[in-house]
Amino acid sequence: MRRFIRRTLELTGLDMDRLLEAANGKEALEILRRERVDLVLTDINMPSMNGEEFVAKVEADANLRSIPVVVISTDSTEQAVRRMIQLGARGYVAKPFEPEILREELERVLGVRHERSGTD
Amino acid sequence: MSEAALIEGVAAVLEQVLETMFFTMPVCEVSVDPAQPLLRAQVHYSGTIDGVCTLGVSPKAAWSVAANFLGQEEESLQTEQVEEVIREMANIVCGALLSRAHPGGSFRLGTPYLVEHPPDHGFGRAFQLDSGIVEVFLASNAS
Repeated sequence: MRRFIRRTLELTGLDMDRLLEAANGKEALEILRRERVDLVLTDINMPSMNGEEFVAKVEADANLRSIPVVVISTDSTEQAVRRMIQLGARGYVAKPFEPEILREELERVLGVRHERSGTD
Repeated sequence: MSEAALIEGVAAVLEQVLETMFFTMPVCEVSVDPAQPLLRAQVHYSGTIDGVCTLGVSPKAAWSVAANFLGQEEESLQTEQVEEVIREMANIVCGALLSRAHPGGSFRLGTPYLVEHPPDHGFGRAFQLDSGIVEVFLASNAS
């Protein structure tokens, strides 16, 4: 899935300095603690630490919670979306999706983040 | 009733999933010889309804959709990559089916894994692709 996401992001034409990859939530947390990251895209279904645990841990960490997390999931039910937003996710993209849908959600979330940064 | 709603949505969901993320389209519905070898991945779901969704793809089609999904040439793919893509496809199809049939529902999907055969009960629908066949087989725990 990571390779598909990477290719899709390239297709969106979004200006990205660099793209870091993690195989699961644990790896992602390690990266977030040592790198400067603008946004996280995460699947729900992952080994070791799933997307729900990951979002909750990011939100619970005062040093990380300003980093917006966008969830990609096969579950597009209202309950699933609401649950992830309540846990702290800033965006949600349901699979299957067109590259343009992903781009719009990332731009929306980054816009929200820029506004928040401006008020800090 | 729940399983019927899932079965009814298979054609539309497959069309959307295949077109959007695997860059192919189902041509028509077909029947599948049970003896035909398919690369199968299975996903268990629980919540509003419980059951198992099994996606089967004929070998040639599996390599073709994997190449499309990964943006690579078929010749460059390893078997493990193709199997991973078919597991991911099963996950996407199962999630999309459940969300479409029960938008107000609540579900948990298990991790997809490869299987030799679909369950011995349930309903399947199969579709012809340019490169082979894709089959979705659904079995609810209640049936």
